[in-house]
Amino acid sequence: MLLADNDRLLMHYARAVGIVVLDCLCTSFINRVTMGLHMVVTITVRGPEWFFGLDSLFEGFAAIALLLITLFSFKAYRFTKDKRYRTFAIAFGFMTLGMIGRILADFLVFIDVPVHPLLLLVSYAGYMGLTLVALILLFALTVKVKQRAPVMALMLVSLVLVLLSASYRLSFHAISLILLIFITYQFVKNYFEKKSLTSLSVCASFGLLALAQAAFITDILRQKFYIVGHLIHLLAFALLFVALVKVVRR
Amino acid sequence: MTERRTKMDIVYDMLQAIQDKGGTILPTHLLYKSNLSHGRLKQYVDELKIKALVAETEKKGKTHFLITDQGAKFLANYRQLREFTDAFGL
Repeated sequence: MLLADNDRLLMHYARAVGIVVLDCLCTSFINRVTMGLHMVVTITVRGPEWFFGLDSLFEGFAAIALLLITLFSFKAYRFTKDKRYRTFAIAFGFMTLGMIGRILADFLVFIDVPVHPLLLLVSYAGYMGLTLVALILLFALTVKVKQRAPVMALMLVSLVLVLLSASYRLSFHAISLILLIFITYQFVKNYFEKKSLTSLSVCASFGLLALAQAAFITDILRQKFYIVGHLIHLLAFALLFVALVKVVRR
Repeated sequence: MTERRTKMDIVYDMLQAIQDKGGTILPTHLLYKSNLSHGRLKQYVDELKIKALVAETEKKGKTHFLITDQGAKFLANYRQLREFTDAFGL
């Protein structure tokens, strides 16, 4: 069974009969359709073919930056036993794991080898789920939410919204964009309070991450937005990396 | 209104005061620099001595507090941590 590009009806049918479908808005250049027992996974990859592989490379850099921040915040937690650092380490740890999942999925699409559909599904869904949970934890930390209930509620609402959406991918990017706007606003306030170069780097980095989400949403309209999104993403993580280097060098 | 200092902040201020004075400091100077009462300062100094962050030494018949290598390492780590905390507004 092959799923044609832009064939949303077929995709909905696939879902209705219990076929696992990842991302319903197909405008892809590569549609990996793998058939298993009642399982079809369609991974939509946007952007020109020459860019595939490069995106994994960019994501690799992002994963390194995220891992370093996770390790530093874990070290801070061990040093102070302050729960804020633990939550921060968990949030960045989730983002790192999610990014590794995405690298794996993008790389498998790039090298074009037959893989079990579940592997691709787990990689992409893991990326989206873990990133959303991480962003909600970061949001809760930056706005200083003390209770667990609103954080859990926000996580459940976001996950349900993504799962029930006609396009998992679009919903994921839209929710991420909203969360990142709120997080960036807190970092902007923090910058005006601290007026340090590191706080400026962090605030600019999260602002760019929000902008990258907007680019990923609009890449349905034009493929070049996929590249633009990745370039902004790369710049954002480079700034985050610079901020961490400045902290460690102090 | 300024925020209340945490225990870590007080330890940092004390160690920073000793380091600013070239590694050793008189108890009265430390009392003034760390902005603590005599009783509280004694409590903190005792704890820092147990944790080997500070040592006591005699100079010209006067007691001085000396920052140890471990104390200097703590100070460096805490400085990084403060920068990190400020950067993310934690």
